[in-house]
Amino acid sequence: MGSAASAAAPPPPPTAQPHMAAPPYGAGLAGILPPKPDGEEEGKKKEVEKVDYLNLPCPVPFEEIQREALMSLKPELFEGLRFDFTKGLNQKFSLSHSVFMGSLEVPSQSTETIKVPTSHYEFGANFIDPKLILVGRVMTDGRLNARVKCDLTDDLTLKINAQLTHEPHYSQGMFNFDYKGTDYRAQFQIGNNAFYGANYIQSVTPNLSMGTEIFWLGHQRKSGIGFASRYNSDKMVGTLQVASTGIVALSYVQKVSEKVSLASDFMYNHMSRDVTSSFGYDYMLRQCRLRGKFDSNGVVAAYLEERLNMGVNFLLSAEIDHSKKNYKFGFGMTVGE
Amino acid sequence: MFLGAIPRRPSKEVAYKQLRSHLIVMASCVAAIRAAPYILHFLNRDADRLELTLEL
Repeated sequence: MGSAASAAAPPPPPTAQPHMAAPPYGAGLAGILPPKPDGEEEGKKKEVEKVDYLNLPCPVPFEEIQREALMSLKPELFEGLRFDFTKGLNQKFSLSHSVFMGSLEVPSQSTETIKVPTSHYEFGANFIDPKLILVGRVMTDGRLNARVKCDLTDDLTLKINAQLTHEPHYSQGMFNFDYKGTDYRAQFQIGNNAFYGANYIQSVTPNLSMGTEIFWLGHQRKSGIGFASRYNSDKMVGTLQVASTGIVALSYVQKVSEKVSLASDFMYNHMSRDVTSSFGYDYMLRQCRLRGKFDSNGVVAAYLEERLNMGVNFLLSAEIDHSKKNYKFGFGMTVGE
Repeated sequence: MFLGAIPRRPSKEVAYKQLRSHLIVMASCVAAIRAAPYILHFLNRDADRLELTLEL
């Protein structure tokens, strides 16, 4: 564990990238929900207070209204071996190395599952500053991922996502302009293949926020519109999403205690007549975090993160699809935070 | 049969018409969501006045 010791020596910069491995023991689902009011007096006081509809809080971003449900229902499952090493060079700059060895599922016409053994090494560089975040990832198979987040003003943020490959016409890029108002958020997106999107979300009451989005695919000459609403209190979060593409999505998350949260969601696609219900849990223990789910397609999954030492975490991942007879088991380790 | 499987792109006029209707719907929704807090504020204020009257 010399590398672990050396990794622990410099102060690691805070990693806030969803693209990277989930930060171990960051605020769990129970911690993300708004704090519980203290005692009954606080509750009574809260009841007596009148709602000031002209001074509402700022809602969560439109693309994140389901984030609590996704934490339980879509953990980062993997199959095979995974090893991530992150080393901070100074307060703002860090490097990361990732090794993956396992099988990748190839889409096939038949009901049989076809897997191809594969392995790759990924090198990453991160620059994190309060106003500027740069993240780069390059893989041995020739793919490159780049992310930029830049605060242009106090309220306007620019985000850039790019995925470049050596195969012609397969590279992608996306620009996001996020504007944050006092009680609303607006976002405008520009992507390749003449993609344009926009969304808007606003608080209507202190607990309820509603939003809408639109997108245009220029090459396919197709446009769509969607609506979303979210209701959250200190103990629960409920969301509803409807889109003209025929998708209806509901989710509900309940905080059972300081350490346990339960989540459920319902997804219906009118075009493909596909419907799925899922139920998940998020359990925070002293040294580990356990997340899992069951869904109506016969899939059972679990994901365990255990802290072995400061900056060293052990990962176990399992996903069993009974209907397709597709079984995936993975183990891994992350070093450095 | 093979050609039928490939979804045909709609004509420009039809696509732009649909896009225009989607934009109008979205603008209406944004306006409605924007107005909702003010309406709630107005209703809440009226309730205050009624309450005061009852006290008198």
